[in-house]
Amino acid sequence: MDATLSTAALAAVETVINQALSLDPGTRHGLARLQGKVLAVHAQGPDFSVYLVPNEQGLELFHHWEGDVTAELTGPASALLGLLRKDTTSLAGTDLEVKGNIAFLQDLQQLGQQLDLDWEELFTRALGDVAGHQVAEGLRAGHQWAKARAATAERLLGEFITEEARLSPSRHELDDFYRQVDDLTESVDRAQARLQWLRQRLAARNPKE
Amino acid sequence: MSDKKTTDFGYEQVAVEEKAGRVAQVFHSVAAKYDLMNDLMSGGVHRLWKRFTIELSAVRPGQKVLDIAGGTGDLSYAFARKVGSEGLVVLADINASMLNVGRDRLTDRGIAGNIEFAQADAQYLPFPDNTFDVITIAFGLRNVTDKDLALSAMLRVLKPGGRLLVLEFSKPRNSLLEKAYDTYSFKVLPFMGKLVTNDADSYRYLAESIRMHPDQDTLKSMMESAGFVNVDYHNMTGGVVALHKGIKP
Repeated sequence: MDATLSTAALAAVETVINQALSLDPGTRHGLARLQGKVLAVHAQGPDFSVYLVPNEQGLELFHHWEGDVTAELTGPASALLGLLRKDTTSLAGTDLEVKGNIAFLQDLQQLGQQLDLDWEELFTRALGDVAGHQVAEGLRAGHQWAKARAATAERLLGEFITEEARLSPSRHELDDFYRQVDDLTESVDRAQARLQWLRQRLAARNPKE
Repeated sequence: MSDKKTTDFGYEQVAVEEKAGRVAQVFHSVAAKYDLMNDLMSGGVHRLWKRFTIELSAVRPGQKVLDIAGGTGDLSYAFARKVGSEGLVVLADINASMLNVGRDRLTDRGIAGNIEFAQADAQYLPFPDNTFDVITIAFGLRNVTDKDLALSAMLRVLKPGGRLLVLEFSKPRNSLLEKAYDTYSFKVLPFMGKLVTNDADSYRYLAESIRMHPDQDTLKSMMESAGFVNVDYHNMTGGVVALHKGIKP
């Protein structure tokens, strides 16, 4: 690809990210604390590399990086995009490979998930205080309604699967099962310790054996 | 026939000692509106070319960077932020008007402490040997009278292992693009120059000087002849611009 096009694409993504970060000082502050670290992302199919460098202003993106990197994430482009969409805490089963400082990757992921944009600020910048506030209020109400509906739908679906169709145990049943497993583990540990103690006593009484 | 040595000034042949003065006139004339014209002429794409140059410079905190023909200071601004308070950027330009615009702009943008300004000729750089980690010359080499002399001077002031980046207009790789580019350069560009700076001649010179500048492979061999190693170039926008990189052994 012509270097101008790839540079333009990267510059555009960087601008969008930093515009978003300008609406969330908390996340920007969090990124500033990661200054000096570098995340290398190597995508396959299409093959390309992007280096993410946090700084006080937000995030810088590069195609070329010749210095040290803190962590490297390698895998299919689709799996990398999936990582952006999902609130996942594990990379197991994602075809992604991580090298280097995983804590840094988790910090970045956590900051991404915490991103809390001040939409009102964005709209007031574009539309002025009065219109911006009203549009933001409308969006906020719509977002809360959609969030509540999504939560209700999720709860109803969960109840149907566990209570009506009995396709899966309920959370309480699972919690109870886990508790029983924990109790059993502890009992086995105690029995093992007692057996050990008895063996030592027996050995002390019959030193010949 | 005269024995006087001549060189190109656009499509015109002028005496060697005359070129620097003629180039200086061009840049005195366009300095105030140089950035505006760059944006208009390239549709803002010159920012992407410069961004790619900054990427390939791999400048790190604490390093020393020389930005030759730095003009209005676009690259120096980015480098000053990258080298931090421990590093140093020298913005050098032969033209006092351009240097003044660059100095004012950088000061206005809060760059101070790690930047110095030097009115210097790229052929006779007034710095000790082995001083800089990175040297850039963006859209400046084609205006230099003796390019080989300038490349040798850059090699001298670079530290061993340091890199030179030459960002310059070059030869489009596609004949169709070349035709469109020619029409644009010789018809549209001087017209825009006339409109914005009331100076069509300066912009005609810019277009002509681009055509007279060595193409990608010629510049590569010139850098190798000067003593640079691992010389390579990246074509940008179909070869309208090329970024050459060479390392001092």
